[in-house]
Amino acid sequence: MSIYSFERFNHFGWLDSAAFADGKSLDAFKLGCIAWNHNALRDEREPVLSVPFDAYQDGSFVDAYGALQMRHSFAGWSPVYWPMPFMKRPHCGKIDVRIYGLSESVRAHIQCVTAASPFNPNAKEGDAGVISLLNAATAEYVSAEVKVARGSIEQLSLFSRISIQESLGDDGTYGRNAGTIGPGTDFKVGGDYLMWNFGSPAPADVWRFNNEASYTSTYSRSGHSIVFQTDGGLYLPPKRIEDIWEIGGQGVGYISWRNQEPLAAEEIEMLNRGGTWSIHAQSAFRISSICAYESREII
Amino acid sequence: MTQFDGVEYSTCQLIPPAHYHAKASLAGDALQAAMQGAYYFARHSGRMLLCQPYGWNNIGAGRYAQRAVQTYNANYWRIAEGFIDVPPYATHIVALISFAMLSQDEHSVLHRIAVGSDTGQPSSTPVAPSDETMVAAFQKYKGDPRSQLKTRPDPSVFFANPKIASCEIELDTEYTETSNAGVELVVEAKFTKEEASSNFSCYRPGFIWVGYECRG
Repeated sequence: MSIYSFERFNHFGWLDSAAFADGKSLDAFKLGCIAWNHNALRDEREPVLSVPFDAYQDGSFVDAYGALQMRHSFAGWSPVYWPMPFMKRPHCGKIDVRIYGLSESVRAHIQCVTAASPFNPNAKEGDAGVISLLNAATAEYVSAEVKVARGSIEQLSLFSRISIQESLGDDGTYGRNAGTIGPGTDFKVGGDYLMWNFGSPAPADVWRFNNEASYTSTYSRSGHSIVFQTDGGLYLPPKRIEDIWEIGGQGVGYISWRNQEPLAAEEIEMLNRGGTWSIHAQSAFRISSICAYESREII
Repeated sequence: MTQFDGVEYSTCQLIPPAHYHAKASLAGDALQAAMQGAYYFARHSGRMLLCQPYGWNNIGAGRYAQRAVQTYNANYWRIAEGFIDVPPYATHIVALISFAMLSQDEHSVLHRIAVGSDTGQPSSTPVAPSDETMVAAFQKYKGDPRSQLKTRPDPSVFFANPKIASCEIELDTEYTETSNAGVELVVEAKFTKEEASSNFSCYRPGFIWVGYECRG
């Protein structure tokens, strides 16, 4: 035993007060008992996050109304849920994150990010803080040990990533899922939007648009991404469709999208030489519960 | 280092064997460290009381359980409520709120937290702190006007720029002396601008953590 190696009892408990009575001398062992007990208390862990969602499992992903469920994005890591702030015991340098979740069809990865474990765009399976949902058939219990700052406030953010596992959008539900773009078509692309003058056919004949009264399914907020290609080349990175509508009956379709990376929207200029477009969806995943516990460790 | 007339609990370190192993002359160090640590745990560190998550579903139309977006409203509205026990020695209740907002007019949003009386029954009117005592979380975000044209903005619009705010309330002394079972808890938010015509401001809470602290 080194005098610099920390020791502790495995459990905090009562000490016999008779051994520490007033006027009695204390030997190193008795002092050690006090210190080991103290150290056990010092390392005691408590829950810091308990975040449940609707665990409704009967039906499709779409029908699980209160669940935390998302389609993966095409490019890189994409945010999952909100940042979850919490208070914790100062000095605690790690938390154990527990997730109960289900990946729809293929292996999905979830990166846990804190102030002490910053977002890593190149993180991969097996890296510290990366949780993988492996089984596509049943929900899984998965854990990760994540570094946290030593202070009293931290926040946990989750990001997801998946290997490409795509399928075309359901044209019966949402509208056309592929087509061509004529060269020279009025076609404007911004950092987070696309304005597209179809001419003929009218946009409403191509995609379903939002109907606030009935709120029918559209590509808006459905987790689909649009891909543009020409002669095997790619115009743009796939973009997740945020909303899709027609501007005032003028035959102009309008798509806004969200950048998948946690970065500012980039500005893109694009020369339309014609090509094809298609709308795809990645596999989905569902999370029923996120919990985090202080790690019992010596720091 | 020795202080018998006060309470030291500003930190809690592990006690190394060097403090106690056959070092009678340093015995006081071990005892003092253990005592300080005990005070520390008794009187410090934030602990979770309640987590309020909201569903998150970006697939298809299944988004009913998500928290409705609050459009402009001149009054406070509730974003979380609960019925909790306030532990002994707790001096502050703290809320950490993950949220986002869109505002064409660069509104700010205020958050506040309130706890009920100590009667053991939920009160119809929680004891709310005055505006002077609440910790304001000013967040300004000039949103995308296109997104504001819709009555049901996409969660991802908000999600693109989440904010973290905190607010807290210092408890009355009665809360610090006894354990208070069954106390009503309310977290609320409010836009700062008092112009009712500002229909383009939208607020969406995502996650709320509520805990207590004992600040001694």
